[in-house]
Amino acid sequence: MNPPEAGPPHVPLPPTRPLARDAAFEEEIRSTVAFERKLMVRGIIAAAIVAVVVVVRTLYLS
Amino acid sequence: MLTDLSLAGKWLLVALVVLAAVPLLVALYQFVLITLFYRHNHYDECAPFFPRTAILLPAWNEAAVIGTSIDRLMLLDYPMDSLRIYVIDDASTDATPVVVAEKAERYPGRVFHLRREQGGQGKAHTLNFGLETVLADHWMEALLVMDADVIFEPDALARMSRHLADDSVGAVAAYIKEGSRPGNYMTRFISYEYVAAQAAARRAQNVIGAMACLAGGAQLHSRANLEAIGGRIDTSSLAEDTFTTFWTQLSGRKVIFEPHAIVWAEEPGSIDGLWKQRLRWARGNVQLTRSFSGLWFRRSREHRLGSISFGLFWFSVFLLPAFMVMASAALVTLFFVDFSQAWEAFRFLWIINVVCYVFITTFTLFIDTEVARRCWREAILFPGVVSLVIIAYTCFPKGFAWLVHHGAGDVGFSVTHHDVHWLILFAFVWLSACMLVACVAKLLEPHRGGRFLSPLFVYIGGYGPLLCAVAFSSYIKELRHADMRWEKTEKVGRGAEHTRAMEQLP
Repeated sequence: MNPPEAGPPHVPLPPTRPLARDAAFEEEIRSTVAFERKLMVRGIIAAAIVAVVVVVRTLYLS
Repeated sequence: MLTDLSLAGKWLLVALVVLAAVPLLVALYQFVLITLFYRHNHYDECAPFFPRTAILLPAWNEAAVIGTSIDRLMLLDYPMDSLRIYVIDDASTDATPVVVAEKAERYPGRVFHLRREQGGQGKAHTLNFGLETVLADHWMEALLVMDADVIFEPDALARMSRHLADDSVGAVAAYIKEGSRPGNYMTRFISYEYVAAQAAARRAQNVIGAMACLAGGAQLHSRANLEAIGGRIDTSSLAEDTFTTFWTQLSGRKVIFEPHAIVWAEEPGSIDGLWKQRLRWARGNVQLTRSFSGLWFRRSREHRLGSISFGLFWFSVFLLPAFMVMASAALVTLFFVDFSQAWEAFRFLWIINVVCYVFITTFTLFIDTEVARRCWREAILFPGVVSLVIIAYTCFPKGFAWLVHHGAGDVGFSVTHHDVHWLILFAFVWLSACMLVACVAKLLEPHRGGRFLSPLFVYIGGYGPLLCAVAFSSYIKELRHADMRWEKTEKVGRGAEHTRAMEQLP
């Protein structure tokens, strides 16, 4: 099929508008941000693991 | 005489070694930024938004995968009246037209088949063919560009489109995960790499407000953005998606990475396949770096691409192979000129390496625990066994020396001080030689025994060095102005099989 026939007939349509943020959407965003906060904590844990490695190495070499 | 090297010369060599720590520190900085994403994100500006979306699906001989991709798109949590799929068939010679015709019949008014009679010019040309059609029709308010093998999670598109509720956003990228099942060592390495390069790095890029690349496999654009960038995809390079990402930001619109919009893609299962794909990407990046030469490290009110952070992110990846070779050459020279200085510089570089390796690997595994469960071995072995041994030596030199001495003694060898000296020289050379091991793995792959030997070489030499070797090769190809051939990644439906099994698709 060639491009001109590809789509349905051109019908002018009104632009789609964003909907209001309802309770379900707010909850979804809250849980997304909560996950990201959890990642921040995991990042701190990863940094703590590095600190342990550095301390163990320093003690080992001293 | 080598030993007569001036003091300034020695310090220059030390500086070259220290310079190699810069990409490592930049990577560390990038990962630290991820922890700020929970505050610096775009979720406050989001709203439920379902614009009429045209999906462009470029396809060349994709009969094995395209049917499942279309079926999955029809299962999206998205108003079906607001979705149209345009398969741009790039003169396929397999059953792609038949599969698409079947889907068009099954989903009337939703699936359209656009066929190019002469194909093979590359993805950008194929996309432009489809863009002409969808832009000519005012029905389309947003455009999703995806690859034929990409499988969308049902909520992925809605999670992307919610960002377009903010007019200042031009495009949104999804998180592409490796979906081949059953996978092999290569797809597991890629799975881990994608967590680091997408889920991690792009979160950091969201924080600084500058995005390096919208993944070509799943990118959503607003119509306004497409019109602002000229309604066409760049055809002059091999990195059409990165060019689009840059043009979007240069036109003053934001590009957002949505880590919770998950899509699955089938990635190469061999070194040869990976090499072709990454060479294309790496050459595209060289072309882009040249094309936007006036942009780097120059602040602008319209975009953040000229920020110092973004410049550091870009060039530390772009120049990593060059840094490795320079550091290695400097260390080897220093070895013969001033061993103690060489040793101190080497220890400095590898201690930074250890800190970065432990932090980045641990954090990356924490970011995507599904990948962590599946690919933790590849995560640990990402730098290669030899580099891990050097890391162990850097951390615990006495214990390591004891182990080598007694281990060698047990099997009847004696390790002298002289031998240790040469082992250290080997470690200096390894910084660049690891890339050669990756090349050997590639050469071995098609030969007898290659199925066993080439993975072995990748585990020994490292997957990271393999990627550096590809980048190095891209520099050479670009310097030699080699032909820009579009090497398509072979898709056989491993991702589709996995998804069908997981979701019990009809």
